[in-house]
Amino acid sequence: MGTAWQRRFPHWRGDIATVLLVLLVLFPFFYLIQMSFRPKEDIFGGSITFVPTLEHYEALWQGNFPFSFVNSVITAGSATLFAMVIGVPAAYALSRASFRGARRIGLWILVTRMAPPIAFTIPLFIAYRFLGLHDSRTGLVIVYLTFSLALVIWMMKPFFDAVPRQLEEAAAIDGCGTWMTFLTITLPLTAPGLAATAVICFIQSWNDFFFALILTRTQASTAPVAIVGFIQYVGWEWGRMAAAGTLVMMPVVLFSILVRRYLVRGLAAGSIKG
Amino acid sequence: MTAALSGQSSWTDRRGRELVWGLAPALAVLAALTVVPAIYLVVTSLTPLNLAVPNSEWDFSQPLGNYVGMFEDPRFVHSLGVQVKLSVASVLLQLLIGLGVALLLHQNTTVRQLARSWVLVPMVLPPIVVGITWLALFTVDISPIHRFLAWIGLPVGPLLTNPATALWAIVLAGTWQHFPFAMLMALAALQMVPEGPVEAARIDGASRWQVFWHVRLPFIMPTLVVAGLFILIDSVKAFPLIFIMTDGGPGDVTEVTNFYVYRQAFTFSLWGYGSAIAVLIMAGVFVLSYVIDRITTRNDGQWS
Amino acid sequence: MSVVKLEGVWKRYGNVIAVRAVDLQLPQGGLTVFLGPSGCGKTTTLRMIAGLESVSEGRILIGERDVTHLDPKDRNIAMVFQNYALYPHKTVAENLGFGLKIRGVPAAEIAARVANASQLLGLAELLERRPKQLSGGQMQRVALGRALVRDAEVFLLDEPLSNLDAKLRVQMREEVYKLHRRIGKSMIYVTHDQIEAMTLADQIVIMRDGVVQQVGSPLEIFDRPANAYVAGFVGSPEMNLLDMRAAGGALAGASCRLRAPVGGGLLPDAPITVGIRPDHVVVLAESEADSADGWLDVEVCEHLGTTTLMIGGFDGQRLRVLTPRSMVQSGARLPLRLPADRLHLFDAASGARIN
Repeated sequence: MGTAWQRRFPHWRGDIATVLLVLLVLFPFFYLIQMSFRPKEDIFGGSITFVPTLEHYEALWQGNFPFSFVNSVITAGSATLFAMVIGVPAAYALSRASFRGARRIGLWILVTRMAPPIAFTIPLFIAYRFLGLHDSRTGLVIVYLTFSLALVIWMMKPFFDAVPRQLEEAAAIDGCGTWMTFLTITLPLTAPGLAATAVICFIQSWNDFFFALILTRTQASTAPVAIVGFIQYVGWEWGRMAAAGTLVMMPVVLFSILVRRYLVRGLAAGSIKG
Repeated sequence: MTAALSGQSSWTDRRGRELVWGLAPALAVLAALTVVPAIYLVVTSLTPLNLAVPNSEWDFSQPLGNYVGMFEDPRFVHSLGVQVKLSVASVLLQLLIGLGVALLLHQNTTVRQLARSWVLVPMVLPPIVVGITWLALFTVDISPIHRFLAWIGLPVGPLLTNPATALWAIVLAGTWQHFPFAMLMALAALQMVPEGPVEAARIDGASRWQVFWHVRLPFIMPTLVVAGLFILIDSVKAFPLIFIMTDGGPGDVTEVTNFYVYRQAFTFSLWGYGSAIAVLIMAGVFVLSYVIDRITTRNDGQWS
Repeated sequence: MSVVKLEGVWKRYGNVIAVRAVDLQLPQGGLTVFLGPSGCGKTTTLRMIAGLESVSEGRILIGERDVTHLDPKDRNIAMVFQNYALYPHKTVAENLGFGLKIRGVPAAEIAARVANASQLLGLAELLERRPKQLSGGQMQRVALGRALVRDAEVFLLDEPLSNLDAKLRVQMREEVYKLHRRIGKSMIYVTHDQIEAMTLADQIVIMRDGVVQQVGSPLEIFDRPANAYVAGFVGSPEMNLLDMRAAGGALAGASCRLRAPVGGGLLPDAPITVGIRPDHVVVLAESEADSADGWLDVEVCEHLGTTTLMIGGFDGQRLRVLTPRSMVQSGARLPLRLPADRLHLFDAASGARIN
């Protein structure tokens, strides 16, 4: 390596190691994607070059998969929307609150986030049967809303904590009421946090497997559950599974990359500041 | 003349009340959707509820029957053992690998800053997709990894169907999926290590390893502990990978407690029993969450 | 006519008393400074006037209106915060006009008032910038401008200069002074810096541990401090405070005797704290050494250019003496006189002024 290169990449040894690491880590990810484009005969072939085909995607389109994909979009989207609308003001209130219960509420939120899904599915399964919510999108949205709400509050509170109180006092003297201050001053300053939270919220609901498996059957099944169908019912249709898997993971990967700066900040801040 | 506690409110009081209105809807939703099911879960755990047996949900004759029966159930106890193996391995591997990757990516070169985003991919993938991907990668006839290993002269047999290796295969897939979380937290903590002590150590002649071990590590230890607790709680919830890759088998080698509950409740319809185990898991999660809460809030001053 | 009145105001946080029984009348159009160390209650009192803290007991009146329970926005006040509290996502112009916009003032008038204030403070070129593009001094002026635009009755300033470096602080101090003279509004200014207080104030309120120690003009406070604490707080270098006893119409130290000032009112044998400013101590010439009150064993000599500060032992206690430039060195022994008319006498137990 010449000295010009070394100046430009002073840590080149580590950089090469990094590139190798990234390739290694992403190998399974790329493996699945390429499998979805490989012709059926050659699906497990060893060669890196092949003629890509869309046959698996076309087969998916014919079947039930688009329907479950749409279910995923609707349930994850609605849950995220409601969670943000209800949860963001709640996170703000908790951040500014001076009453003693605030700490306990924080713990409650954390436990809700951390609880194993099984603890909820047993009661909810029975309740939904009773309420006719079994195998319904509404039922799923309600469940996703619970966890999303906890997540939104848990993630947004540190962002609100970071907005100095003096700014809000200045706004109060300027004439703003409590929620007016929130809308005009505090909220705009936490825009990156809002974006990160909404994305993480969506990803969490989108990726859910357990609740969808238990609480849905045919009407409201979501994309992750549909993939399992390929194993159980259709026989091992690897091509279609790979295509379905690729489709299911594409939105979340794209979202993550879009907001990756805020994502990292949000995940780290939310996790550390608790 | 003094208008003491005359019953008139102040701006701070009024503001406090207005804030509570913003909190109320969320609390109402959460109360309905967490407290109520939780109560129902506990109540059910006191019955031998079996969906196949009518009226078993009102049978409170032996309220602690499920709890006692648990520890006499060899399959349950076995699942605890599996769970411990999975959890310990998960925490250790994810922390070590996460920390290692964080140390590598700590330098602020362009390559590494880009890498930080890309390395997050496994963490955001739907677990089911992770499951099918690794299912393929662990199937000997299909997987390029197996083919590569055979090619270099280290042939490895099927891991998922071998009782000795099935659990570790799941651990491998799970570690791949979740290590970015530990990496994120370690990275954030590393970036907050103040430069002063690091430079002082370097001036004192410490090697890179010594700087890490004596200066950086103590600083980031609290974060690693919290990360470890999060990973621990998460490992208790392990489900999709096991469901897709081994279905608890071969036999019950990969049947962790959470999976066991699923079987009891949804395959055998033993809801009362399943609820009892779920209550136990919840209690464990609650204790761990409480510990996390205490640590993170006590250290709040240091981290802000 | 007083613009702000505090009647028996107390502030408690649980069992902690932050502000105790404050009665104040602040003059219309004047600049009043709340002076004291951190934690003395000056900021809390200011915030109670602003309405940002609730009042535990007592009343606050602004312009004869009882505002004790009113929201900050209804009190017709404007405030400048220590950290400026400028809205980061708004331009300077938007920051200045925000308070008016919220109150529904028509856009044309907002523009006019903003233009006026920015002219007064030299902000005209900065109107379209965001706060993070401004220097400390510029941000401070925007904070002042924001208060100005509102045309409030009372301006509250919470340590506005303490985030600036020393040179800028002196500059901005002049600006604040000129601004106050120009607009003629009542200002309440909180600081821990006695020089700011002395130079800006029409009236100083000194506070300690939540209690008002003295209220008066800067020179009143300087010339006749009401207690030993105020005496030691105001004036640089610090006033000397010596422990002595009253003895038959004079003041007795360990080995020296001082003439007491006239009209002493001293109880016999009472312990007294005697105060004298370092520049009022007279260094006698060798020839007058016999009439000296005592001797200074010089330990430290600080040659400050125009003056020399000597610190040393006098009558077993530490004494500071400030003289015009001299060649005195450490180790010298100087005869001193402490003139009676320059002495401030305080009761040793309560600290209250006697003479």
